[in-house]
Amino acid sequence: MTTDRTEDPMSTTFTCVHGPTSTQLFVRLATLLNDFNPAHYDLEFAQSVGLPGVIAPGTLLQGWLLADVEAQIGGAAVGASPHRVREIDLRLRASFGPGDLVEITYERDGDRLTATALLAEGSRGTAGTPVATATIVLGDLLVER
Amino acid sequence: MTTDDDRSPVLAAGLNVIDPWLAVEYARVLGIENPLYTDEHAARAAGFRDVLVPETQLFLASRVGEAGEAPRDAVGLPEGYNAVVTGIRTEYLRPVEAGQTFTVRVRRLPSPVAPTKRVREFHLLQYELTDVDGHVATRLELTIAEFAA
Repeated sequence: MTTDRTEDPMSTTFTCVHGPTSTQLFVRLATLLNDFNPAHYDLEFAQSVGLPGVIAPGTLLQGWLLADVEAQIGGAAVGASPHRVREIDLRLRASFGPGDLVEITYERDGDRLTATALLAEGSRGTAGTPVATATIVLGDLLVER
Repeated sequence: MTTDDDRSPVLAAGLNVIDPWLAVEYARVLGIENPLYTDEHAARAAGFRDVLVPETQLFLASRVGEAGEAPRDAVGLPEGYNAVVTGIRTEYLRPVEAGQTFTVRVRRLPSPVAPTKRVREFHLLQYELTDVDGHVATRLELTIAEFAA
């Protein structure tokens, strides 16, 4: 899986493309989050509850949001401070599965970003399908050392 | 986000610790490069006890109780996995250090969405993490869609 970003620190809009995803990634995340919902790795179960197939966990999108903001807003290279993310409000619109690519477009207005995630070209699913929306609020975490 | 003035009762509570290896591996898988989250030496040099847990990995904190699961009877979730998370809203207040024990309190909040033909009920659960120093570090709200039979 790869991540492509258009990075311009002066821009108020930037786009990141993640994927293609895989069942291996879903299982790896399940382990790292102790979230073994079989909808994320068991095809028979996923179909039994009406899903089109195995689906990615929503927390994958959440992680991409954090990584994208880190890469674009800064803080990765210096590392002197924690991430400047105070709030993430993620609303999942449609599922995506193995082989899909997700394109996330961010629009920044001061310390607030809105993100729109769509299936990208080359996905197994229909390109342009809305996957999720998110609002991200930036700010410094309280640190006492 | 709910405040101290309008809280529902705590339905479940427990302790949790996120192993530093898990935090570093999660950062690697997601492509997070800030060394405070990937390098224990950098984190300690910055005054932290160990690497920081990537904020979005704190979803892991919802796994409390016996066998790593939130007591489903207590929080009103159905048995089994006939449910999917449809919304994750998280407020990050303080960094969470890996390897440190934190307390998780689970509350059930009024459902934000009416049922549909496919979804029997939307559950809204709040997980409040209190760090080893007694400070609330994170509040996480999960909206969970329970599928109709």
